[in-house]
Amino acid sequence: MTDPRFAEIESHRPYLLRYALAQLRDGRLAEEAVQEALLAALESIASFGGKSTLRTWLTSILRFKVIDLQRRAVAERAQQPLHEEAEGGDETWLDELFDATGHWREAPQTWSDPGAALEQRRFWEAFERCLDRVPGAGGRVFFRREIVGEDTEAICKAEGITASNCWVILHRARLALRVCLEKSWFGRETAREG
Amino acid sequence: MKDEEPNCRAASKLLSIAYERRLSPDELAALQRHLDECLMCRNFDSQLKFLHNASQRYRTKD
Repeated sequence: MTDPRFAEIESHRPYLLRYALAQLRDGRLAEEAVQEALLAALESIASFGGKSTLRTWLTSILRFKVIDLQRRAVAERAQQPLHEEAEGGDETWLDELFDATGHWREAPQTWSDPGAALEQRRFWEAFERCLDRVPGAGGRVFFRREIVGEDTEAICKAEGITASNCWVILHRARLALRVCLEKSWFGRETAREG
Repeated sequence: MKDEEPNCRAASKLLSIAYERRLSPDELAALQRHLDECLMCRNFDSQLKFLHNASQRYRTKD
């Protein structure tokens, strides 16, 4: 019962929860999907051959649990499209980032050695914190587009929004992530190494 | 306003949208002219690439 991989599986729970939340848009359902997926993974850990990474294997199990729950929850609130919010249609939020002449209010800096960041555990903690702070539908749409790699078209359809609204939501999410990472990681270069 | 040169606000949006659809030759040319003169938007361009790469790494990370 003390397979060291149990703890390893558990360490992917935060990622899996984000994945499920991006798809299901409901915290309770997402928890349920992840719980079921982790149980299924523990039962079949012997069949994990290491051909993919553990995270990829766990995600493939979770994917089916999510589809299953989506089918069961079709009529529920979680499935309502978000077009009421019309988040993508309104671009006044850009005024916070750009002045009246369209220039950056805060200039994007040159990030030093971003490749090295990917090798540091603490960078990924910052990355996850920033992901969680992306406002509105942005976090969810960014996760599905950039992390899961789904087609924009499929995501827009699931969200019930037009393609151009989807692009604006993604743009906003990228801008928010950029600001967050620059503040919480790349801006502290000297402090961190000193 | 087709002939107007993009400012940072417009250029950054094009840089982001380039991940979702193919930019037109006109859009690409205008974007390139802006990038040639704007370090801030070149930085933003690099940061978008970084976000894209980091996201892909995050998907399979152990």
